[in-house]
Amino acid sequence: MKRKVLALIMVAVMLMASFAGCSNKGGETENTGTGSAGTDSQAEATSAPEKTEHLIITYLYMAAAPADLLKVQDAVNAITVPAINVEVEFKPLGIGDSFTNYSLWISSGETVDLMMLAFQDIKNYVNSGQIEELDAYISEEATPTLYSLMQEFPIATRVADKIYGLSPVGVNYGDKPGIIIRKDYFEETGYEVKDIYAMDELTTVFAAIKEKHPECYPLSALGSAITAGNSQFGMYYGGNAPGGNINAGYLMEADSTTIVNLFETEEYKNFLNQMAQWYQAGYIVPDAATTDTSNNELLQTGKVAAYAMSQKPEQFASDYGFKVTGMATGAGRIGAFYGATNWMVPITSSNPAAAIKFMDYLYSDSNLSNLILNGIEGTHYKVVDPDNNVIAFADGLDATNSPYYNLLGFWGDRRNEYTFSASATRQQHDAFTQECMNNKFKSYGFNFNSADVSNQILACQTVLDQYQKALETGSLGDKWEKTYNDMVSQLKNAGIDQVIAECQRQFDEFLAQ
Amino acid sequence: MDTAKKRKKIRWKKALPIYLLLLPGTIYMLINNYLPMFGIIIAFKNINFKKGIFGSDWAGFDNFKFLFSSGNAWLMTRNTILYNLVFIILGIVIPITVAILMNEIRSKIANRIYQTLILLPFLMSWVVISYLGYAFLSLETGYINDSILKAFGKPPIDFYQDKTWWPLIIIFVHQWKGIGFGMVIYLASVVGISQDYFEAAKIDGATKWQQIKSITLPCLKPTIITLFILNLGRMFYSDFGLFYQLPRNSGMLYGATQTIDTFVYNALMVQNNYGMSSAASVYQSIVGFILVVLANETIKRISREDAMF
Repeated sequence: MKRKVLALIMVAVMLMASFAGCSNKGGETENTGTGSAGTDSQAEATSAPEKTEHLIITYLYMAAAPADLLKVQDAVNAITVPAINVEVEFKPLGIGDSFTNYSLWISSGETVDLMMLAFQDIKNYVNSGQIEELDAYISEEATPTLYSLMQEFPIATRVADKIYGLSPVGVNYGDKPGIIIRKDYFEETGYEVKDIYAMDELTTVFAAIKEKHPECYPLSALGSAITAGNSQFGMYYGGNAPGGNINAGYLMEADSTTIVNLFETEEYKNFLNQMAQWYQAGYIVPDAATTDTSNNELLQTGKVAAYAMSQKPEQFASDYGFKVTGMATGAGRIGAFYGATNWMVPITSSNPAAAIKFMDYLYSDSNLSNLILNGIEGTHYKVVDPDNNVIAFADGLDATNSPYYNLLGFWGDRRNEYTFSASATRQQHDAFTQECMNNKFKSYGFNFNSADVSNQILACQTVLDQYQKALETGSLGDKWEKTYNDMVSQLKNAGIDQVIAECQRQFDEFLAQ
Repeated sequence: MDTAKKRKKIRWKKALPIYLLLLPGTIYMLINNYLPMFGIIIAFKNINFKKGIFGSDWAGFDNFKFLFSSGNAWLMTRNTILYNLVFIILGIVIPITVAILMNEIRSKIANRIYQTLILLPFLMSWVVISYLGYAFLSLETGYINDSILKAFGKPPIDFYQDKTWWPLIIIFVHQWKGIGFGMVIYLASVVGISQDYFEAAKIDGATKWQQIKSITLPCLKPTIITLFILNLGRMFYSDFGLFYQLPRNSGMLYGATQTIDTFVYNALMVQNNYGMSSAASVYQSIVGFILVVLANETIKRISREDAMF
């Protein structure tokens, strides 16, 4: 009996030891990535004096990894090995899986050198020490191109004044609040085309559409698009949340320096009242708060005629069998900017310096970024309109059978990238960026570090989860006011004032600099 | 003395193969259930991957604060416990009734068909059931609003914004889905009861009801008690699909549908916060553990031989 117990204890101890071992080992694992695909380029590189650096980079896709990914990888290495002595190995991953996998990879010590963090909050990774600070590497490796891009555009994502992420340069920056509406229905109403519409004018247009097309709901205000971090309010009224999430306060005007509690403002109350009225008048889809159909599907089937969408030049190109146009409700603006897509270097990277070297090179060489985005010219696409960077599929290929077709663009300077449909010219994009940059919020460049109030933020978020969708879709009809009062008082209990005070304190420090 | 030793050796020899059979299971248990327990300390740490789990700073009870700071702690604890109580009671009464009835069906074919039909919902995914529910309850196109209430000239009910009906809906759907499984377990015990008892009772002139009351139910007692204790231990957990998918996570229903699990999911999905997530599960495990021990003690007082340990 004793021996058995002893044996069991031994087994347990050994297991413990081996497990404890893994967590330490992971970080230093020698880079043994196979890179079999890159053999040709490796052969070329052997003559180089330095050892070729091997990088493992995530490659996100929507449905399935492109069949020709390895071919493109070889072509990428044919550029990067001679230029910067870096060899790339793509690690394909569905974008949905990226939400859960990164954290697991890092905690299990898997070597990855660059991770594309798409539509996730980088602060979570920073606060739990999962990613590297990049300042030192950038000052070591970056070329003037990257520096000037960083000056011009908010591509460096900072948390507490340290750079943790690098975003691709967007095709344009800033946006205009407003709605996207069916062009044919809008033209039927005969309403005057204006730069900026008031909310009452929207009501008039909706009423006219409802009269002509009783079966159609003029507006879809979907609950699925409303998150605690993103209020429908901003879609109509503009404004900017300097802390990223609305529960860290709101700046109502571009030149204001006082962060207010959005939920207590008169404007927000009026907005809720407006939505409730629209809902009661039958202008909003009845199931808005709970349906999980998308705006596009509803628009395409003719069930709705419009939805709220902050406007950018490229948004009116889509063809649904009818055209769409925009009705802006405010001027173009840019505020505290949180790049939705960030390249970050996890602590399990074997070579952060080389990762930054590669990023830097990616910004300056549009051939490379286009290669990764669209594949090999001639094999996968051909250039149709070189002036506007428009391409088409190579002969015999289309969206369904192309061995390299991935619309997720995360690579380098996106202003130079090729597109399949010319939605807007480079000039239009640049003009739009210019217009928005002229209307900068004081919070432009500000980064809120929420680490000290994360409990309160979480508590506020659960309150918003509960009420926001029902209120902002107008689904409660004339009973909205009681629910609204509940929400405001529960937010107070959850500590929204402390969050806003902390955000204001950091914002004041930022303004003083 | 010598013979005793010898006998012990023989017993060892006999027992060894059985212990060997046990070994894979034990190792699995150790790795899967006991080894991760050291992770409980994550709940008390301000986790930082650069420093590692053991090197991270201690956070005391900070990670637990968020569970209670939203003001919803009472609501979700109450929901979790009350629903589970109802589920446990109905989970005993209804499946046993169905199992006894099923046992009385003499036609083999009919028996198979009924069993399959009753078990079918149990095999369905919650996501599918969520859409079935939506087909019934949707404001615009739902069966209840569009066909039944309309036919009677009643105004439609916005089920997803009005929590009045939800306790009923949740209990109904839970039973509809779970009956089959509960029934199979009890049916196995009911079938296992020796027919001799029933024949003797019949000769003595016992009615069907008397047979059930005096033979079937007492024979089922150990099964009932074991399942009861097991369920009690899961008192602080809730069926995530039932409370999240079925109400389509509609905020206005939280008063009737929010449980600890859905709260934690909603709060932490977006945050990836390891410390707070483990704090929540530590809270659930500790309270669950206490409940199991208490229930077992109570049963020990009432009938000693039925207690689990």
